[in-house]
Order: sequence, then C-alpha cells, then structure tokens
Amino acid sequence: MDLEKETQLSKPMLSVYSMIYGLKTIPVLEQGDLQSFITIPLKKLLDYCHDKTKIKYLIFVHTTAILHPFGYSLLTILKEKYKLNSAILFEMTMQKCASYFKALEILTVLLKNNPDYYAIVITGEVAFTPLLRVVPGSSIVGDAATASLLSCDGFDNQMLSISNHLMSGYAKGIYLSDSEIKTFDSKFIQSMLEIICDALNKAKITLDKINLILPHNVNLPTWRKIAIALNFSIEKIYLDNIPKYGHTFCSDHIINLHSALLENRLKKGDYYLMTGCGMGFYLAAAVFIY
Amino acid sequence: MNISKKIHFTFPDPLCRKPKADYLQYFEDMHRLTKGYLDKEMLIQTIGYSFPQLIDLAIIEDKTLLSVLNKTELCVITHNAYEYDSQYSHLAPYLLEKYNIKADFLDVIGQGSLECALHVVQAYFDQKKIATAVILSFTQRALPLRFDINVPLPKYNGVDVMLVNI
Repeated sequence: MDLEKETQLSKPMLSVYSMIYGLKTIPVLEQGDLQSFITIPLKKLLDYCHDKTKIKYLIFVHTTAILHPFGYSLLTILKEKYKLNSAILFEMTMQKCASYFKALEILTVLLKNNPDYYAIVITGEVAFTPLLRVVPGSSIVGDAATASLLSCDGFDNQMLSISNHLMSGYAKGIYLSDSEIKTFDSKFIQSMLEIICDALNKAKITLDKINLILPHNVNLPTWRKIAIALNFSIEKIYLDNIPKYGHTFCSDHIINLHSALLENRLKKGDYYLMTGCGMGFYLAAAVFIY
Repeated sequence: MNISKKIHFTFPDPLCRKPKADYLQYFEDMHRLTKGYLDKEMLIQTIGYSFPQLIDLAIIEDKTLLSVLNKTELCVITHNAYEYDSQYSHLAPYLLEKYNIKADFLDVIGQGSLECALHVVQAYFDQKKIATAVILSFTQRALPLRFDINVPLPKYNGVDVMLVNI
C-alpha cells in the first residue's frame, strides 16, 4: 500500500510521522464497502450471542459525522440482516474519536433500566478521503471496525468508572488555527492527567493499582509525555499497535484491549484504564477490572 | 415524563454561499466508496445550514431559548438529516464555547432518533440521574443524495426544541 499516495504527505513528512511519531503502517480497506467491513466483527460477535432477542441496543459510534449518502441506514440494514428484532438503533458521533466512551456512559443508565438485556456497540470507519487519513502534526488514520457486547451482569471487563469532559475553546476541531492548536497542546497533558485522576477517584482506586493503560493510538511521543507526567511506567501503556495500525478513529481502545488479552498482558483481577481524546476537544477515561 | 414546552423554528433556504472546497471533495470521495451517484450541482446550488447556524437563528428569534438551555441538566442533540458544511467539530462544543451552556450533552442520531432520544431521557429519569432535559432536533434540506434515494426528504430547515421533565 502506497502511504504517500494514501496520505498525500511528502516523503520527508511521512518519515517524520514514521521516525518521530512511530506510525509505520496502517490498515487500508482496498475492497468492499463500509457495511461489509463492519459486518465482519459484528458477525463474529453474534456467533457468541445465543439469544439475539436479548439485544436491546445496537449503537454505532463514529468520528466522522457523515459516512453515507442520505437515506441509507446502516443500522437498519444490520438489524434486518441479523434479525435483531428487539434492538433499538442509534448512532453517536459528538465526542468524535472518544465517542465510544459516551456510549459507555449512556449504557450504564440504559442497561441498569433493562438489566436482563444486552447492548452491542459497533465502531468502524474508512478514511475514504485525505482529510480523514491524516491528523496534521499528530497521527495517520487506519481503517478498522470493532464490535463489543455489553451487559450489566458477567464478570469479564467490568467497568468501575467512566469520565467524559469537554474542554471549552476548541469547537472548530480540524479548523482550529495553528495558534489555537498550540494553546490546546500546552494544556493537553495536564487535562489528560485530570481526566485519568477523575476516573480513578470515581473507581476509588489509585494509579499504582492500574496494570495497563489502553490509550488512543495518536502517536508515541504523546504517550511518553503522559507517562512521565503521570509518573507511570511507559511499559504499562499499551503502545504496540501504534506502529502497526496508527490511529483507527473510535476503534483504538477495543483493538488494544483485544491485542492485550491475546498477548496475556492482563490477568484476572487486573485493573486497566482506557483513555483517549476526541476533536472538540473531548477527553475521556474509564477504569475496568478484568 | 412530561413535555413541558415545545418550540418549533423554521427558516427559509439560505442565500447562496460557496461551501468549503474540502466539503465537496469529501462527498466525491464518499460516493466513490459507497458506489452511489452524487449530483455535485445539488451540493453547490442547494445551500443548507450547519447546526450552529440553525441554533444561532433560533436564539435570535426566541431569547428564552438561551435561558432554557442554561437551566437544563441534560441536552440531547438529535438529527436524521445531515448538517451542511459546518465549521465546527460538533454543536455541543459550539454551545459551550459561544453561549457557555454547561449542560451534560449527548447525541442520539439516525432514523427515528427523536424516539430514541425520548427513550434515553426516560432512562435517565428512571435512574433519577436528572429531573429536566432538553431535546434539540435539527433538520435541513441540502443533503448529499444517491440517485436511487427512496426515503422522505426533509421539507424545511429548522430546530425543534422539546423541554421534558420527570
């Protein structure tokens, strides 16, 4: 795959993203459409789900506001295809790449109201235009999709707390000026520390109890700075997917969790923390016990 | 749940404004992936509204809206129609930045999103998380359409504001 063509970045600039930011390769959907792409993890997940009538919510979280021409409802198609007849369907995109965290927050309320039911949250986006493929001065974006099943019962990956915070002054998102971005950069690390501490306080645990942080895959230097500021070992921040996949919209955290579990980086009873950032700017963190 | 107030704002099609170059590029690329047919002229000749533009007009028309938004605990943003060529990442950061609205925001979007928003708000009421909420529903007419579109299209540009309480 030709990264130069895909990103429209020059070779010298690409080497900056590779050598300094640690972004070496990204997954790119070369055949098929978004529906078939998202169907892959969803179908695998549904194979584990014995009673589809228990699925009360099907939520699609995404960064990009518009993914299809008007009138095309991906969720309605998936609901009919997989006979998820009880499912209430909606999408969320407000928190951009941190939208998954807002879905988690809402589901703590919705599922408490419907404790016998499940929710499926799907992520999945394709950077079909150069505007989406590169976050200037920050990251390169890969195509990815995930599906996760959530419920009030069960003992795997129990969420202990969730924190979402909107920073004022950055509503323009990708249209912020260079000076506004510099202002944001100067506040970012401290703000990330605060959202992480907030989630830890809500979970009533301290940072030293956290065995692994699952970050958003923005780039390596950002997480090195956060590790230093937190006084937290960089070895305990899961960064292995940054060189392989880059940043994958809302999918980073679930992919990182999946990879960490495959590599036995978490054992039963371990605490871990998911944290990330979305344009706007939104900061989010959630504490889990595996 | 009680609906304590409903306000309906409609606005005429806006005067001609050239969309950002990346807006047109975006839809050309999107339609290539989705194998649809995009009538580019539609995006240039039919000018629409971004949601910040719509809320600005609504606030100008009804000054009480701002105090309604300032007092609510939860503000749910819904829409089925897409927004047109926005300069902002999303309406919620815009409302915080421009009007200092500090409500908890969430978005519930897609077909049937108003019903879903009511369902979500009811759950927040049931769990006693909040006692009041505002649902903002946006619509506007300038949309990227496929040639084989067979769904009803929005008939107006506007915002519906619904105040609900426990």
